[in-house]
Amino acid sequence: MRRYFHGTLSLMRLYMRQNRIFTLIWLLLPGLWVAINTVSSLVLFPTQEALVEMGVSLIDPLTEAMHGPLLDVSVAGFVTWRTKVFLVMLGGIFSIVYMIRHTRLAEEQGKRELLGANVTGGLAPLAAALVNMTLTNAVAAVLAIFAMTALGLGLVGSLAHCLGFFAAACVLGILAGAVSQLFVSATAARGMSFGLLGALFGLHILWNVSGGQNLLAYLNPLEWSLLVRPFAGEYFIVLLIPLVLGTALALLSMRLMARRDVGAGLVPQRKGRAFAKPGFRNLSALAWRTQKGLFLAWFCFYSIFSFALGCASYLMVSAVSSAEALAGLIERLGGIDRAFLSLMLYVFGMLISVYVMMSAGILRREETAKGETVLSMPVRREQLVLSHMVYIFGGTAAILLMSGFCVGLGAVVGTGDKSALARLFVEMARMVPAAWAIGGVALLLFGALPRWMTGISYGLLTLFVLMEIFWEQQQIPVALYALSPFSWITPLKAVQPTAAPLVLCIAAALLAGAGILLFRRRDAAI
Amino acid sequence: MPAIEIRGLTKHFGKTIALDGVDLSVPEGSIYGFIGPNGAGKSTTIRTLLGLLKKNAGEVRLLGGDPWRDNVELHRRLAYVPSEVQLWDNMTGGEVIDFLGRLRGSYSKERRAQFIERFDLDPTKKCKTYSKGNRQKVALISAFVSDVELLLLDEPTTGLDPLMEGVFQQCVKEARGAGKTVFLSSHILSQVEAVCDEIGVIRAGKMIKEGSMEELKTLIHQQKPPTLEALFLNYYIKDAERGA
Ligand SMILES: Nc1ncnc2c1ncn2[C@@H]1O[C@H](COP(=O)(O)OP(=O)(O)O)[C@@H](O)[C@H]1O
Ligand SMILES: [Mg+2]
Repeated sequence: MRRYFHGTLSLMRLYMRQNRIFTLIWLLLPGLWVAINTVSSLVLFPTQEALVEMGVSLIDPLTEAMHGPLLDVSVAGFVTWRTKVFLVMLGGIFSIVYMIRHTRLAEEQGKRELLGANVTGGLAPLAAALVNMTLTNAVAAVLAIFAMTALGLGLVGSLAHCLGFFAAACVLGILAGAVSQLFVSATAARGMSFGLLGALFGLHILWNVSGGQNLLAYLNPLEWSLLVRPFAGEYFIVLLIPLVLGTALALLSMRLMARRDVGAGLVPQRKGRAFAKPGFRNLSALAWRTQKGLFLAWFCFYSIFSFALGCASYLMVSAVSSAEALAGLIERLGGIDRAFLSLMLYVFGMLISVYVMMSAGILRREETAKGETVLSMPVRREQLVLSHMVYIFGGTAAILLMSGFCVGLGAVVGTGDKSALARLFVEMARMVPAAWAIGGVALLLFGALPRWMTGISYGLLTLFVLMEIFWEQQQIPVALYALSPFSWITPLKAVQPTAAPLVLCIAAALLAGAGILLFRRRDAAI
Repeated sequence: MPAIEIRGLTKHFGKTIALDGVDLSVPEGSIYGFIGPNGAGKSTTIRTLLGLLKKNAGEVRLLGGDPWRDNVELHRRLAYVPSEVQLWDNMTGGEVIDFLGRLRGSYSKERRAQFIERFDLDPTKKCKTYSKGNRQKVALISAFVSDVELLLLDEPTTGLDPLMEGVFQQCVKEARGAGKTVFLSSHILSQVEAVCDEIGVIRAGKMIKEGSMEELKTLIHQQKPPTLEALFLNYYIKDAERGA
């Protein structure tokens, strides 16, 4: 015993002193989130009648897919229903990050070797991380209970709600601790843990949409806070499942850890190739190697998400059409079914400009970190930029077009309206020039202000979105709004000049050209 | 004709003056030791020679060309090892060596195998698992397998163990034997003493001494104790006094 756990307490103290901001957010956010939701619900539904009348109308298929059935029509029932998934995800993510940081990442960086060599037992780091993680989740849960009872919600129900997310977060953290015994790199462990969390979330949505009882649901941490039935005849016995599961997983991770060497994993590290593939010989091949991860992730995510959006669009249309506040907007967009999708596609287009900035960021990182190596080869500087422009411009277009195609396909499947495919595809295709203009801005910054590129580019994106909002509220003149590439494609304007795509393309080309010229003339690799 | 000829080279970074009128000349086929304390301007000089940095004033000739204007042509004829070697996390050392060799356009399979063996590198490991020393080995192997006229090495052995240091010195001498010019920036005096024919000393962006190793050897013998360290200490002190 002593051999294994010696030094656990001092390690716990050490971990507590680290990452204080991270811990503070982890502790406070759950309670804060519940409090905000409670207050806004109290304001929104001053009386029980208002709640029954309005609350029930707020429940649409999408919300139901996310949160499952509403168990009790009351402010308390409404708040627990709305907050539980978020709380579990939040606690789970923080717990996973924490566990991997103190187990696998510490080991990878060689910290554990130092600690393990002298003062601590072999299992102490894992044990300390597990205990600290559980304690932090417990304090977060207690704070949330305080917040709920202080705002007048019942104690027993609050207890059930908070125990639900406490149990789920802890089990997810313990799971990450076990996973991190398997892999040699922290990246792999983190990827696996978040992959599992994503799969559990997918199952959660699937079960909610399909409805009905499912025995397997008792094993999914995301379901526990529903199964414990806060404010609806609490059913605390369910919490035995996380208790048993958590204990079993914790013991398993200890066993795994005791059986392996420091720094090693149970899944052996694969050997890489000793020779490069014959085709791996130029900057385009290199750019593919550095950009493919980001590109494929966005491409696949947007394909699937767009398809789902298209399929579900008719459901959401019915939900939105009942909201009176949106009537005027819908009128402007030419009818409810079109309006909704147009708006969604527009938001998609805006989100994809984040990809533009990220892929341009990869170019900048390649320049700072590997520029000395690459640019001391017989290559022109513009070749380096061009090899990445394939992704900044071409990759973005591919993602947008694929997304348009998938939304259209989903809409055809969902509504049977065959004309939707072409219409939605073209609508998405119209976003491409605006995304390109953003890419042009990124390249200009790359050439002109490389050190501030990241900050300014995300700042500009935010500004463009803000300009949209201010323009909608008629607080900024149209001429100013025109500086945002989005203003040339927004569906909120009744008509756009036919030359809009051309203007955007020319702007993109000029900006990118200027960026390349400036890059050729400045100090590189700094 | 010298392989490298620099006259009055000046380079500013904002208000910092990194190079303040550097003059140096590297004879073809020699090993030139470029010595100076940290922050003296060694890396800045080399980056200017590579056309990565744009000079503010002065004349720079490299293999008969202008490093800023003719960079692509010149880079075909030289190999560079940076002082902080950073590589692609998800590529193996072997892949990097192959890739850089193909990009440079000159490398042979036999030499590749030979240098991997000599530097005792496992080419199947991903770069993110390499230590600083191993990353340096990858860059060094890539430079030594290439068929070029000039090697620019910026403190290339700071992460290597003493055994590898010996291998490195051997490789540098062989490169000279094959008619290559080596420009070796370093702050390890024993290394410089062991391999260099010519020496240049830089401090705070200015050259404070340039000459052949023979010349320096006679000066060393006048020092107490008779070491290169003592000589340089002397130079640094004199230079500082002049500055004051
Ligand atoms: N990119 C840069 N920006 C600002 N200052 C720099 C930059 N690179 C080098 N310097 C400054 O120039 C001087 C010379 O640096 P460097 O050439 O790296 O020295 P060495 O390689 O001899 O250690 C130092 O004072 C350093 O701070
Ligand atoms: Mg340096």
